Amino acid sequence: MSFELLALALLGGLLRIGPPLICAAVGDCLTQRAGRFNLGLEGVVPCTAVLAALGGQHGAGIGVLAAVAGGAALAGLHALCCSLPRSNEIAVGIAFLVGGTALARFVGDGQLAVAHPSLPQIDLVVEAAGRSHVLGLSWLLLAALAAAVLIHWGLRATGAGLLLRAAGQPGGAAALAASGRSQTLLQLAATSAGGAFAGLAGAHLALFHPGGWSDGLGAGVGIGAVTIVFIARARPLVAVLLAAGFAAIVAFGLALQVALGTGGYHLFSVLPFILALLVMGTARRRPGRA
Amino acid sequence: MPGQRRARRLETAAIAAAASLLALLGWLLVAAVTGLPAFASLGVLLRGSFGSGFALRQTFEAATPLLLTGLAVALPARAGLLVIGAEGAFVISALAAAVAAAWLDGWAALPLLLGAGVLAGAAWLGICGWLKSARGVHEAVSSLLLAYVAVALVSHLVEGVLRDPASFDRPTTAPISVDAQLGSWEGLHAGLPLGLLACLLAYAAVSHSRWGFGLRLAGANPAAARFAGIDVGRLTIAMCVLSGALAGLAGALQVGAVAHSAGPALALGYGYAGILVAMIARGDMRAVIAAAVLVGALEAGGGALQRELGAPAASAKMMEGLLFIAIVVCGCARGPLARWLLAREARR
Repeated sequence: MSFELLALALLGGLLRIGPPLICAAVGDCLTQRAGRFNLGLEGVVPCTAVLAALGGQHGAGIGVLAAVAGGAALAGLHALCCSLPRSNEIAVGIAFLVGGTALARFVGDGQLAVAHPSLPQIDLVVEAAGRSHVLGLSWLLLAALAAAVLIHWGLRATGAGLLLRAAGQPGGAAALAASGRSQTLLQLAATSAGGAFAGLAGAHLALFHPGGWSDGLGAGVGIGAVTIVFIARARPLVAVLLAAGFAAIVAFGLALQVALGTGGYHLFSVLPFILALLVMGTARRRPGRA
Repeated sequence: MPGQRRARRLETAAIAAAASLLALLGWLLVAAVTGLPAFASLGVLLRGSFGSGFALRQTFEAATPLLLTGLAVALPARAGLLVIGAEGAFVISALAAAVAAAWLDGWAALPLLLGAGVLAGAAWLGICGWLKSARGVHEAVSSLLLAYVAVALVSHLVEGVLRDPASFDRPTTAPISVDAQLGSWEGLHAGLPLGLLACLLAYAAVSHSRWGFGLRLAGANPAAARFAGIDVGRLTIAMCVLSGALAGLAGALQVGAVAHSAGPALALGYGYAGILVAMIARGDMRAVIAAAVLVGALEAGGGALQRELGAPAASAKMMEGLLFIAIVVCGCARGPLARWLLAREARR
């Protein structure tokens, strides 16, 4: 087993596992910047994956559109519930987590054998161990990376970015109201946008190799993204790097299994979660929202 | 004020009715869209959960772990903690119990099974308590992350070093010794009396003891609780440990009474369904019993839907999810509705 093939397997795994996490994390930066904590993302991602698999039967583009629209709608519903008086965003998030996961499993149950198209991708040809291998680089990943740069710039340099940041600050509601704007509406928009990006994540899960719907698809993506963004303090470029790092760890476990036949894939798949808990456990205590 | 109390009761009843109706409508819609006979499915659901001796046994078999996982969520919730990772404690302690009880025969096997489960679960969720009290990490996030870690850890161990060579397609640990197996009475889950007892004890402790008063105070107003001399940090850790112990007892009982071995297949969602049980019970530990039976009925009824109508395996989870969202949405009317009812009475 050569080092080359291990690196190849790692890269292939990274290109498959990374994009959903990166897409969901980039969108969640908007949500958390606006002061919303959407734990329900964990339920939204599997739902959008099912939507993408269903819509994808009429073409990959329709699948992506269905997933993005569905994600935005579900996350918007979450924001709507949160904006009602006396509601608790964590409790609403848990309801969406459980409800969304159940809905995805229920509707997706019959979709196992459904043929699905693949997203258009750029084929990277890599020479390794005397053979050329084709790795797919999905357009969705490039779109998410572009969006991350755009959001990074927009949050700093535009009026809309300023408003969004204001919505997430303590006392932001009053400041926004004084300038004739509504914190609730801003948070609704930001949470929906986060859901739309979660839709991209779902679309990638269902329409990129190997694709299709299987039980448990998308588990851990939503909560992973929310945790990454929390650790990155909602900075999109940092979130992208963290998400790529998380995915690299999982891909490494997979590559080891493929290349060397070692076990331990299960542990590698949750190692990012353990690291996140360690980071949160050793970081200096932050005042306010935990 | 009796008027106020009556308004509160009316409000609770109205919200419960509205949530049930909303969930029912949601189910009819989902069933119709996915091509199931919507109204016929309700009959199957009812017969499959309460319609026969077999159905009742199924309902109570599912309700037994839910009594404990429901308590594991409802108890810390009274102290203001949203510990939602009972699933993780459940599978970890099932594994610990199965491993501990596999090699020992005799009278000590059963206490060892239960003790290992309770300890493993308590230690597992104790991590969340420490992270919360020492580091301010939200317990909902940490317990959920740990639930994934637990399932992966169990999968890793049971597919690896702890695998029973005799288990083929569904890897499990070696079966526990016969002395650790709990019998059943008339086909009922042997853990049922323990679960019921735990609920009643929890009710007595929360509603009628000094400790319970401190707990409720810390949940309602942590600043006031600190001022009153309650160590909220220690209470936080204690509640997470207790939550883990209860979920751990559920996991150990599941191994002792039903599965007789442990594996990733035990992660059937009893921990997550426990959140729904706690949500329905709304902080009343006696109500956990009724809520667990209700959710157990959905589990049993979902099985019947699958058998008789060919519905998806996730039917029970689907109904639970709908009920969950309906309760959260309708619960937002709490407060204003009672005020409106009170004002209407005053006008009369």
